[in-house]
Amino acid sequence: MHRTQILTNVVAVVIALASLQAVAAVDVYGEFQKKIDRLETDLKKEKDVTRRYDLFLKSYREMSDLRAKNPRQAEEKEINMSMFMDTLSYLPEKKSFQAKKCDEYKKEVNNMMKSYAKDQKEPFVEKAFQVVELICRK
Amino acid sequence: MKPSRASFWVYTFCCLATFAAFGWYGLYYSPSTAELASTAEERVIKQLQTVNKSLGAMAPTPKDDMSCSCQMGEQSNIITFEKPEDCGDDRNYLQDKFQAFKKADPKGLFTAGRDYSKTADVLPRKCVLYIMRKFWKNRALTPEEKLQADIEYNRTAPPDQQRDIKPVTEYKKDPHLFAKCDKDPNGLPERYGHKACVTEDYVNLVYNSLIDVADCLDVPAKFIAPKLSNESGLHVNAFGLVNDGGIGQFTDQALADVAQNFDNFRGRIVGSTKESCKRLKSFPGVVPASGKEILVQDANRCHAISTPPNPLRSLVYYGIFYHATKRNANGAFNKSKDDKDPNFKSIEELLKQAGIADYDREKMKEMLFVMAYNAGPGRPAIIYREWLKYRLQTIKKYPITKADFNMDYWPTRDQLKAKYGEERAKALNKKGKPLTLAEYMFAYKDSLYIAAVKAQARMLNKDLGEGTCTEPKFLQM
Repeated sequence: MHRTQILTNVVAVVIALASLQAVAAVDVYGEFQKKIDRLETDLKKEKDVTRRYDLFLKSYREMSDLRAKNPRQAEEKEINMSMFMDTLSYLPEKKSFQAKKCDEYKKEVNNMMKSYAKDQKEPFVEKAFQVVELICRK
Repeated sequence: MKPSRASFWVYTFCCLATFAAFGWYGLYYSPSTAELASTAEERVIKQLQTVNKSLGAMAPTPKDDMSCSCQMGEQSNIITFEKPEDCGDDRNYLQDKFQAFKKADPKGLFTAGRDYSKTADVLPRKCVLYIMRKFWKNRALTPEEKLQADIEYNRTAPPDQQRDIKPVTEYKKDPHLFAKCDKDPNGLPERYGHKACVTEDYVNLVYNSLIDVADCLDVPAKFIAPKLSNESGLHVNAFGLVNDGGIGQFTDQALADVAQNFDNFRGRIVGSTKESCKRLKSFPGVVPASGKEILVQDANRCHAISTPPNPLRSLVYYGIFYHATKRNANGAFNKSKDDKDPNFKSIEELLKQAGIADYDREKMKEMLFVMAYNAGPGRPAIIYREWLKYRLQTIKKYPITKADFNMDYWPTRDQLKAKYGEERAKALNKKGKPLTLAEYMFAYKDSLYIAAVKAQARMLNKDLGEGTCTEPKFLQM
């Protein structure tokens, strides 16, 4: 094989490997946000509160696994994702969930995660509050 | 028998020793009425006690120490009260309110002076005077006044200290950080730019109120002093830019928390046998009948500002807020698991992973609790957990040390200008070294709250003496 041809092949393989790696690397933050959007849409559609809670639990677990299986992201992104997850961590597990206690859950989540300074907006906490609202809507 | 000179001295010494012993007994042992017996010896003791008491009554009340490594008044190294005649009309706007307070407090429970040496260990009165005088500015200036002040300054300043004289449009007007509630004591505050004159009457009212609330509701005064110094400067009518009002700088969310927890604490005040609690509940409007009476809306912020009954009411609310926030912030710190999430890592697990399981948890909680006053109870623990995870990435090369918890931090002007996030993290220019907790909070959450409270404590320690107005090792690992 001609020397130039060998070099061309090597370069082609390197480029192919690099692009494969790029495809394999997951955009964790983007995926995480998509899962929030999908969850919101699903919660809006579902009429039964217990099924809504199941939908939430499924997404919540998926989001957690998505983060656990991938490398740590940029700090701002990690903080945002944790703000969302931790806000919802104050909701009960499946076996303890009772639809009639929804107001208590909302109160607990709000008590723990609200800010006293009005100028401190935390978009991912707001998104989590919205999820709680959607689960508990009447 | 004629007594010898030696026996005269022995006799005199015995008499003096007996008197000294009885005097000491009278001073340090005060039997209750039930304990008083009728023996001759005890009658003598009682008489001696009466003499001691009357002597005590004649002795002047001990003056509290007003020394300071500062210039705050005419004499250097002594802090003095301001006099109404020196403040001008624009700063005497609370005088009639204090008169109204005196009328509502005929026994002088809060308006009269007390023996301040008795509460100096809790918090010396000079701390309150210092904080009130140091806070913000006496007068908010307009751009024109600022320009004029620079011109005046340059007339006497040496050539190397001259200020730049800019066009008037480049001067910014000072914010108005005080309020008047003349129209409606429960209404919307009217913004005002000038600090009320820090007279002895004003300081006594604030100090007496603070000490009684601290005692009644078990709030450590030296812990909250730097925090209140940062927030309201202990001014009854402080009014922040996000409608946070009064000595406790309450927002609607914070007042809602107080209202929610109020009924649990009300019993603690009303049912207490402490003299401080009795004084608090005796003053009209200080301890509402229920949490429903607490007005939380911005349109009612004068509820936490107007005097009387503030600063008492606002400080009672602050005591309740202190306990509720502490409970929730500690709950967030101690959260050990999330049953819905097997990947959840608690602070405790992360501390072990980071090799700092032996570090003082109470100090960590103290930092996050201070931040919780502003950010709410749950968020600081999340940021702390993220910082620990961030540090774990480089833990082998850069193990965590106590320096990572150093809150004696303040960014440069350029770092402040950088947008918070990665841009600011770069501006901190750590040359590959990881950010400390304070730097991380500033870089990624734009939060300097703990550092700001620590700066107040540092200033108090420097000017009034280490530990005089703050707790030992406050916000220090």
